[in-house]
Amino acid sequence: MLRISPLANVAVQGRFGVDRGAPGLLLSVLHPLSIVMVIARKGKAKATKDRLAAFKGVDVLWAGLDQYFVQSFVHAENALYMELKRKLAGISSVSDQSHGRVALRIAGSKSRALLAKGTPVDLHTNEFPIGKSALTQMAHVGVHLTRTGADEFTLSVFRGFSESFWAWLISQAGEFGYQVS
Amino acid sequence: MLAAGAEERPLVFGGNDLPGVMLASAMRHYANRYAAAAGKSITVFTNNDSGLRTARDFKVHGVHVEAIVDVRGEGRILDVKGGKRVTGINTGHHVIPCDAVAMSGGWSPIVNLMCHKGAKPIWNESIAAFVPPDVGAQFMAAGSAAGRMLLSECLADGVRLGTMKGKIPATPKCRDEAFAIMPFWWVKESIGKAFIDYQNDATAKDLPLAAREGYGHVELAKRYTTTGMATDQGKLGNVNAIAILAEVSGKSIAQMGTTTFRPFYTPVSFGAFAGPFTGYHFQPTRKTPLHDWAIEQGAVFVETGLWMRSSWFPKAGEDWLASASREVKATRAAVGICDVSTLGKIDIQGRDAGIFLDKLYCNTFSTLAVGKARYGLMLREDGIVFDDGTTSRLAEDHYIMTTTTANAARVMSHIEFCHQALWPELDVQYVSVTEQWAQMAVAGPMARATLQKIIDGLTLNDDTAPYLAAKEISILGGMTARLFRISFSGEHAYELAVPADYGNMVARALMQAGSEFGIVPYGVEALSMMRIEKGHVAGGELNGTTTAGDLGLGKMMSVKKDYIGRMMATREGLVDPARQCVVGIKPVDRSEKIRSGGHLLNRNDAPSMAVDQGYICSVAWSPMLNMWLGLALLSNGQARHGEIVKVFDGLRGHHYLAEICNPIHFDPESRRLHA
Repeated sequence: MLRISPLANVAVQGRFGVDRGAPGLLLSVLHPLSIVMVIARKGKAKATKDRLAAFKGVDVLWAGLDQYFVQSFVHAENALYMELKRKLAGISSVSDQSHGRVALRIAGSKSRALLAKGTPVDLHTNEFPIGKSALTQMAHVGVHLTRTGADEFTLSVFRGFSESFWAWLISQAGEFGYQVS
Repeated sequence: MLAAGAEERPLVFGGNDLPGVMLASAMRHYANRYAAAAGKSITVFTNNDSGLRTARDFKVHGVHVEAIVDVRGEGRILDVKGGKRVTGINTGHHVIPCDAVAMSGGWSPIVNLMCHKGAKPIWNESIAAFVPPDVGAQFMAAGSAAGRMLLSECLADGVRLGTMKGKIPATPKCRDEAFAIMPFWWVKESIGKAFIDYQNDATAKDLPLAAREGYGHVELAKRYTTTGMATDQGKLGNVNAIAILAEVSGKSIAQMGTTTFRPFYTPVSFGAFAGPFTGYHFQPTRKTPLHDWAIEQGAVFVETGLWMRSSWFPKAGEDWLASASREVKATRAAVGICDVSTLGKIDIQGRDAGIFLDKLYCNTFSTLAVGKARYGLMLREDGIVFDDGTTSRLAEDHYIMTTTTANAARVMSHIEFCHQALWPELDVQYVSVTEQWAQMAVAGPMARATLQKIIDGLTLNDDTAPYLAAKEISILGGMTARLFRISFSGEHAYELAVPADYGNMVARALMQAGSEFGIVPYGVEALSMMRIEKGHVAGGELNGTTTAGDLGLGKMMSVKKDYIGRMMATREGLVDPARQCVVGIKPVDRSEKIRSGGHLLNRNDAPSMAVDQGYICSVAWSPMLNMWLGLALLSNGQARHGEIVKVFDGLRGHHYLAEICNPIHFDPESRRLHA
């Protein structure tokens, strides 16, 4: 079954914005991505954390107090959901959000400058190191933000907002020059 | 390094807001920098040496100083004389004519930025001011921001901490003036108003009142009096306020402490905030997973909050009414599909999920069988209806709640509040899954036959999918979907939920499956017509004034358990039989167009709001009954079916007769639902 991203006809590939020198930003839609929300049941915060730590081949991102987004490109969405449900039975509540959230990667020397236009989160590496996630807002839209590299971030927004969010993002990216892939 | 300086404080005395009363330092700056005199004859009122310096500077510039009133010599200004501007002062002993008053209540170091790190400032008795806390060597205060009141001390700080550190051999020499202050907070003998917060009109009388009323804590007094809540965030008045509060509470200023310092220190203009959020970006737009499909079908969209919803699907030459009427008829004749993805969906899991829902809803969910859906009604704490929707049980410890589109976010916040604040002991987890699912209503006599064509390995009938069934199914050769047999239209109907990325594809497949039956897409206008034909309540009736009883849903209120709103719903006024409750309404002259907002009067009453009995809350053209129909709230309405009332539409200058009836205008026995 072919999943269609809501940004399929919106985030078109190419080089945009300021066209001198290397682009300051590389933007890409992470699709199809599997995203499953895991919330620890009462008194099972540590057990949830430990089991998730033992689950290899997926990204486990903090998403609130005793809550995580488990993300994977390898596992199909329903398969990941079912596997987590099985592995975490009685320990955590598991909800598929693969289709409910749209994820983007923002890389390049200007990625921090771009995000700083939208979020009040302090993105300095001392405060927001690689692997750290935050729940924040940009352009009136709730955003789950993660640093994945020195100059690389991933973020996700609720699906229905994705087109609006993308339009805002590229309006802010133009001054740096950006490549959509 | 914080070298933000210090700010002068006003003194608190009667008439300290009259034009002509200014901070001494402000007058000094006018004189020294701009050669401008603040008055022809100035009185200086001070409790410290800085005021004397101001007086000296005036004299140097040839500005007449009429008097120096120094509290250290027992001097007081009880009240300033004058109406629109200063004409003199009353010291208690003398009335002295003057046209300006320079006041100095001491100096407050500008500690704000350092306190934004979370630390509280420290009271320094010798300079009668809060000085910055020690937040570590990474961030040091210097100069008067650190409480240094002498120029020589400031220069020494600069040499010690500044960027030229170690390169300047000696502190520059300067002529120092001594600084001494006697704390002095208010002139208790004043008759006129003595302002503390000039913007919010808080006076010296307000803080003792706050303390007497039990709001003596500095944070409470702030909120009780609004002192420090204006745009200056207490820069001018807070230290005076804290000192007065301390005095009347019998505490020291250090014990009383400060409120929290928050950004911004300097007012920031709204223009700077506006940023890029103008025009298209003023607010985000939400699109449903079926948006592209709806465009293909020629939808006209309507903004519902941030959502774009398909409103009607006109064919050539049709206006909205013609289009929506056709959609209703086709759906009731065969089958129609409607995008209902905007309804809020909240995944609720955990060992105590059922108990949690029992507390949230006025009816019971812990007894709901797995695989079944139930209509739920939530009350507010005050007993008024909050929201409604269908909630289904997918497993012993797993429910999926639906909310109205309008209240989705509010219900989510309510749930978070209830769990965190009211019943934290419950083992329950919840997350919004609104956007995970594309959801479509499939309604009409051929709904089952249409769905059957895309379902894998399951024969739909009243055993496998009875009314109010909720089950996980597989469609289109392996796609996981959820099927709910529920109906808002009154037809034999289902809601099908599929993962959002597949939404457009599934809607197209359903259109193809239903083409042999004449399937149509229908929008929210047709949906609204059908629900009004069926007397189903929606936003017009769940309008924040109605109880469950008013909506005809009083029997849903459980008597076997506690829930939010139970106690308050029993209040006299909320169970009064004369309350306005939901009725159907139709015009006596069938060609009359009834409209929302018209008020209901007894048949023979003269049009007037004095004899108001209720009002029309929802109306629709009924394609099935060929007339305009409505739902209304009418006093003692349930006992008045069949009565003819006068509709008084004052807004449109129109009145006419209408019949009160059963709100279920169409198919009152609900035969179609179970067909």
